[in-house]
Amino acid sequence: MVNKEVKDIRQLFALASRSSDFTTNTLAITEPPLKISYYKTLIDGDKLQQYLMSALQIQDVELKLRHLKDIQSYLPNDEIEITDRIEIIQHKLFKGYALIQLREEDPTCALIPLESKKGIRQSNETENEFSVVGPKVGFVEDLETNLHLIRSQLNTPDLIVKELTIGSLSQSTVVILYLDGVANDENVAKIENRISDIDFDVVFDTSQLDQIISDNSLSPFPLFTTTERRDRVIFSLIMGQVAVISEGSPYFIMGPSTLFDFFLSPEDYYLPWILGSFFRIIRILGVIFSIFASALYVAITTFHYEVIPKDLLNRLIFSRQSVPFPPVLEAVFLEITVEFLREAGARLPSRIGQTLGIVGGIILGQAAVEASLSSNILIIIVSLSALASFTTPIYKMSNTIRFLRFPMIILASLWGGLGILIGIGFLLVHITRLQSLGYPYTAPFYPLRVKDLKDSLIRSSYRIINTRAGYLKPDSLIRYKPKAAKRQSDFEEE
Amino acid sequence: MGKIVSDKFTVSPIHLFFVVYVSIVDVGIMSFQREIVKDAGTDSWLSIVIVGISVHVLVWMIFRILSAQKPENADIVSINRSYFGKVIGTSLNIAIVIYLVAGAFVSFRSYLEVVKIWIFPMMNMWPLSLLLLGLIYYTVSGGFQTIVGICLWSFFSILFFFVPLPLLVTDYLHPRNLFPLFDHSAMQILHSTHRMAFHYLGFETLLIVYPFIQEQAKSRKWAHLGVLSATLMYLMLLFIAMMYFSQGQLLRTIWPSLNLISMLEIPLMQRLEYFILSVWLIKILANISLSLWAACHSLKLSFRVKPRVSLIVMLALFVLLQWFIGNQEEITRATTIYSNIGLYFIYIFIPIVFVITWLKKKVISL
Repeated sequence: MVNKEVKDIRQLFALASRSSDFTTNTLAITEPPLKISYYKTLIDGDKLQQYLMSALQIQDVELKLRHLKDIQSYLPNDEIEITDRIEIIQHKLFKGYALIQLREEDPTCALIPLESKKGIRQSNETENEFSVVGPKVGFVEDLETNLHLIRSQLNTPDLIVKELTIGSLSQSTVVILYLDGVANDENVAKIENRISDIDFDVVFDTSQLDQIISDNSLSPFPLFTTTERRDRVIFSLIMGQVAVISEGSPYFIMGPSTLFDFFLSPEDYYLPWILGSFFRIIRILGVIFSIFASALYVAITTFHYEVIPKDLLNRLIFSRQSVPFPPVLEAVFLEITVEFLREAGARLPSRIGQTLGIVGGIILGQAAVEASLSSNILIIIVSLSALASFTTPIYKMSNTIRFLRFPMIILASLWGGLGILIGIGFLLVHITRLQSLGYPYTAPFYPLRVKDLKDSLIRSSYRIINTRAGYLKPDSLIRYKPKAAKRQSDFEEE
Repeated sequence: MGKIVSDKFTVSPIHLFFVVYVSIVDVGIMSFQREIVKDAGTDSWLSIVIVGISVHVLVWMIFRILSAQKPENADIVSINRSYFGKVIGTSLNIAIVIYLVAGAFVSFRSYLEVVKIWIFPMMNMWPLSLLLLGLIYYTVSGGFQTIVGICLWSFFSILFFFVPLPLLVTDYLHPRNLFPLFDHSAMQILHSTHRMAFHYLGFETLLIVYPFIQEQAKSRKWAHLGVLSATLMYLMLLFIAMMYFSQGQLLRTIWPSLNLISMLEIPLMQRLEYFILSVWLIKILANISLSLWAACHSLKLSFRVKPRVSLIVMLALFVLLQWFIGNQEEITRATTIYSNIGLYFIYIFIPIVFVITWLKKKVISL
């Protein structure tokens, strides 16, 4: 803990004035002269001019102030707070407020919000979770903007915002959002307890909170969904989940989540339900393929040649005959190469990244086959499975999926298909044991809730999915009343 | 001991279906056809039906026994104590624990043996079996809910392969092999019934699992459905095997189900039996974990042994036993001993307890 206990305002000034961006001025435009102090790096100079100076200078005569409260009647801002509690004063000072005192020794200050929004990106188009259909509104690094985005679409007094302050150095505001009467109070209380128990120095991003409050830190699986999309957050709020965001982060986390939530895309709900379901199934098949394809290749080429039909086997042997490595090395090499490409692509500026993708993907792959360091069937499998891993709508989950490949490949090289199944066994037991906020991770499949299957593997029509998922134990189950549009057919024209 | 089990550990009634189904269907499903056809020939399906019905009756008895208990939520451990007194009751409980562990071991060992014969004839099985034991530990230590989860996954993974089976083999079936009907003596059918009953062992874990089911009254139908679907699965595989193989062939085939599957070809894959045997691992895992969990739980109830400790001891015992029971013959012998004891357990012990329960009720109402 670096934070020293500040006892009174003089000590605060003494501590603050050690740094050169702390400014204390005397405003002689009033009577008596006001003393104003602020961090000039935290406040907006324009606001200082417009709000404060012009408001106090509006009359040509000098303002007579008998009491600090009089300021409130001159300033067009309702966020002004007058207090002598030092911890509030200190907190607000660092949030970009200016302190106004009548006399230097006076412990009572008026706190005037002048915070600057500099350094926050203006564009809030979603960057990482893209969708073709539907809104592309994402969050930015400013808490108020983010809350504005949510509240402007959810026009209900039931939307509750709870603020907590976390971080001994950052004093970040962490906000818990939920719909009262929908989200189970127990879940809200659980999240609130877990967050307020945190002792941490600087909260950079909500994803740090995600790890700290998660039920099981010994798991590669993310236990809270993370998103930068407005529609996704609002959707999970209306389904009864609780959302959390920390100041300065463009990401919300939502919980309790199930494994399945990570494979839902908002687009499923914007497309007609048949297409939405189809793409959802494609996505899940992609994930399964991505985890097991290379491992299956290794298992088959190492142990089970006889599994492959003769014609296909010919091609396989032909492509592998001059490769000097055992299949497992070949597969691990290629998988690691793909990981290099991905990692480099994520770190490089976007333009170089594209070029690198072409160099890495096409030229390297081609050269590896020509130098017979790898079979081209494996190149197809590895690049397809890399591609398939990115079909998951949430980036965190695609990391997990790519990670899971490696143990599978190794198990496959040891015991072939049986090894893969042992891997699946561990995986199944692991996800069955996992809990998110104390809720089973594999719901609604296990514990099986037949009623909740209507929005799982398939996304049924809006007429059917009018209720919330029961496994979240929401306070009210009905979302809306489905009203079938009256069918009119010109065939039966009267 | 009839304390209510916290909601955190219980499962809803529908899951009893998976528990019962998984506990009945074992690795024996790969080989049971030969054993029952040996005596009853074309009438062996009768023996499946007979055993199936008897198991339904036994399940009905189990539910009667358990729901009659006061305080509620009793299991066989506390029932034994209250019916037979401390000494006999405790020794019965110990016997049940040993029986459960033996059952788990027999499944474990025979699965490894099938894997060895079909997939890896030349391989040293020790590393694989140790890893499997690790997996079993991980599963059982997850508690009852995790095990039920694995039961559910294994049910679906197996269903995925066995449901398309009849469609894939229709071209090769000879329905005439099923005839003549009813030309075997009652004795022959009884013999094959005796053999078939082995393959139903396992559902008696119900006696221990019961307090962990929510709304037990509703769960009855799921237990019976579990038994019914196991019966249907056996019947389906028997009929397919009988129509596919001739009687003579069937008697010389050790694993008819596997041989049958190995003949199939689908476009991307041959030798489907590799696949099914591997997927069967999940099934076996569920089966073993369920028995071991029941054993650990009974030990905890009767002697307050920590489940984690008893589980480790049991798994160590598995390793030891694997030294002694090494080859096919020894496994067969162990399986036969286990199965015969199991038959006494389900066909004599459970009815006795049922009668005692019934008498007690009579006495109280008089």
